Amino acid sequence: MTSNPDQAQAGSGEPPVDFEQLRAAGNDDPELLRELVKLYFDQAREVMGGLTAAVQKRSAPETDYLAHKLVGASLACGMTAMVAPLRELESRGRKGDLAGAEDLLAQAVSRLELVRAAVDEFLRNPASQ
Amino acid sequence: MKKILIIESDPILRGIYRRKFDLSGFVVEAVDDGPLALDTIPIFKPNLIQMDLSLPSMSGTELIRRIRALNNFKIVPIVVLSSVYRPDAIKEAFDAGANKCVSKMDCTPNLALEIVEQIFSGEILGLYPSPLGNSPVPTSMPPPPPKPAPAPEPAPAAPPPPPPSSPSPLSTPPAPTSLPRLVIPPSPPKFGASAPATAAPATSHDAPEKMLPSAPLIKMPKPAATGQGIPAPTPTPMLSATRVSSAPKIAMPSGAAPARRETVRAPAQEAAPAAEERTERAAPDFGSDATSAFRLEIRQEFLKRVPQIQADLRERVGALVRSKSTTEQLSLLQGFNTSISSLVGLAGITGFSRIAHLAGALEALIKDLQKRPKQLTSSVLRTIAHASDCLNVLFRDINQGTQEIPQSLLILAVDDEPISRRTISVALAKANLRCICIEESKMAMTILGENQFDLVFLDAEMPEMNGFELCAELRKTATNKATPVIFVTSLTNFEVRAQSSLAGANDLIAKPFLMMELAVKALTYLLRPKSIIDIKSSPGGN
Repeated sequence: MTSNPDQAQAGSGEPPVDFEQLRAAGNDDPELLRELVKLYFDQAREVMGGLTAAVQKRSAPETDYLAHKLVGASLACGMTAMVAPLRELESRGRKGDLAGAEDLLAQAVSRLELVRAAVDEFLRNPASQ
Repeated sequence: MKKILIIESDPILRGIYRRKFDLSGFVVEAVDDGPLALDTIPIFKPNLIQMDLSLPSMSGTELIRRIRALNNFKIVPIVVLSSVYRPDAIKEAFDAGANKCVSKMDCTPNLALEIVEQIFSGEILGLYPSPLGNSPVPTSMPPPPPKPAPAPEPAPAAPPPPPPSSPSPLSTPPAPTSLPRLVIPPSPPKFGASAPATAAPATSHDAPEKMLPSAPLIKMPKPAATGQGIPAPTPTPMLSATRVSSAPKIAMPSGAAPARRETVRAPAQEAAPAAEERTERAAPDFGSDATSAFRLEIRQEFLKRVPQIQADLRERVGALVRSKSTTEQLSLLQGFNTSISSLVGLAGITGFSRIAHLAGALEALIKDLQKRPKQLTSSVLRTIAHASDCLNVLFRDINQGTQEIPQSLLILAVDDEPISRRTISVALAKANLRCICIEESKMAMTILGENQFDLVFLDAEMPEMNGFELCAELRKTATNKATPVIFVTSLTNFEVRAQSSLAGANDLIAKPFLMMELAVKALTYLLRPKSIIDIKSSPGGN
């Protein structure tokens, strides 16, 4: 795994959201899809808040746990841009070494905004993807 | 005399339906695919079409659209056989113009005949299956004809049909000679006292026949059970009409009166009157000897084909596992789909319900993979291989084990992540399975100590007590020491697999999962004979 997920994401040219996975998660049911999207962003807000606090107080286990939790949700909903920085945070938390965690967290925060913009556009115009 | 066109790719199924309708006084033509059906319809002028939705070279939905576009066939009744695990396909079929949808997992020849007779009598023409089973209601699907006229004649110039009881040679022209007769019906079933009715397989195989007429119809959603704070799952078709309709009650750790298995089973008793009503409505009167002889004969045909089906399954799964390119996988999935679709119909029509339902769920998973080939992960391949193995076990025990679908199943999902809980719940609802979803592992442990579950899904990483610890602890309980446990986790490396096995788990599914993958995995454990499930009685028991 790269230590700089932002560079990897930018270099890959991949969209921040795997809409096929998002549709699959929503079982091709627009109502369920909207419900999952809401659950995701509600959870992301909560987890990112928790991660910020965990990184600030250098709590590796908490960082590992929270990053892992949001990785699972991101994979399930196809929010692929979130996966790399969160995986890295999870890995560092597991190793008990939070060096550079602030940068990773900042990347996750900025990517969450990219993801949100892409999903908003998708919900406005599902045929666009 | 009324004319029925059967569109079915499997030759045995075509033969079975053909004979049933032939013997009941209908003029029958049978074809194996959509293009041939489109050539046949204007010549044969059927009064009713019965078709499978899974056809080799044209989708069933596309075929319905094309039939509806033909002059004089805009309102000919179309009965489709489909899988209850593919509600999307059923909706598309209705949207395209189908009039009736029947679960091919539960469709017996008697039921097929009864539906045909009901349509010809005008009883159900233009009405769609009721969401709740017993009372047909008009839906927002294509509106029924203004007046449900009995047996609309596609050809305006055709003379009115005589009553079936007085067939006239003049009114029953032979099928046009230009049409290929794809089905050579075997010798008709032997009616009368000499029929070996007593030699029929186990009586449990009779169950689907007793569920006439409403049970096997595609049902739409019932309000489903909810877990703690979890929204109700997405409405889904019913696996069986006798499945419970209310939420399972479980003993909660909050001090409420503990509810044991008897309490959980209670809703099944509520369903009893409905089942009785269905039995009373079993209409076709061919005499029990004749029905048994017919059933026995078609079962024997199916059993003769079982070794070939098993070999075919092994070959197809093996090829899928070995395949490298997406193109190759798609081609293999297409072949697999055709093959498994035939199995669903054959097992369903012969009353082997467990095989029919597991194969039906597998068919739906394969359809999903055809739509989303990149989701064909190693986890999905394992699930397909596992389901195929379970089908082989069911084939092996075909004349011994029960074929009844288990009722009132209790499933627990423990995951601290809300999207996982929701998607597990929706995935299980696709197989009409309901689960209790718990966020906190310690609360889950308390519940597991007081209630016996049929299946448990666990996340690996959870605060307080992780999934491995929870699994090891539940193996120490009297209630769940042998309950199948499946980990659902995004951690799929060797270490996690080993940890899950050491904790006593039976299986692991990788996140993100396809909904149908999880449903198939669940059915694989729930439909497999209990004695086969690998018992994990203690940590390290793997």
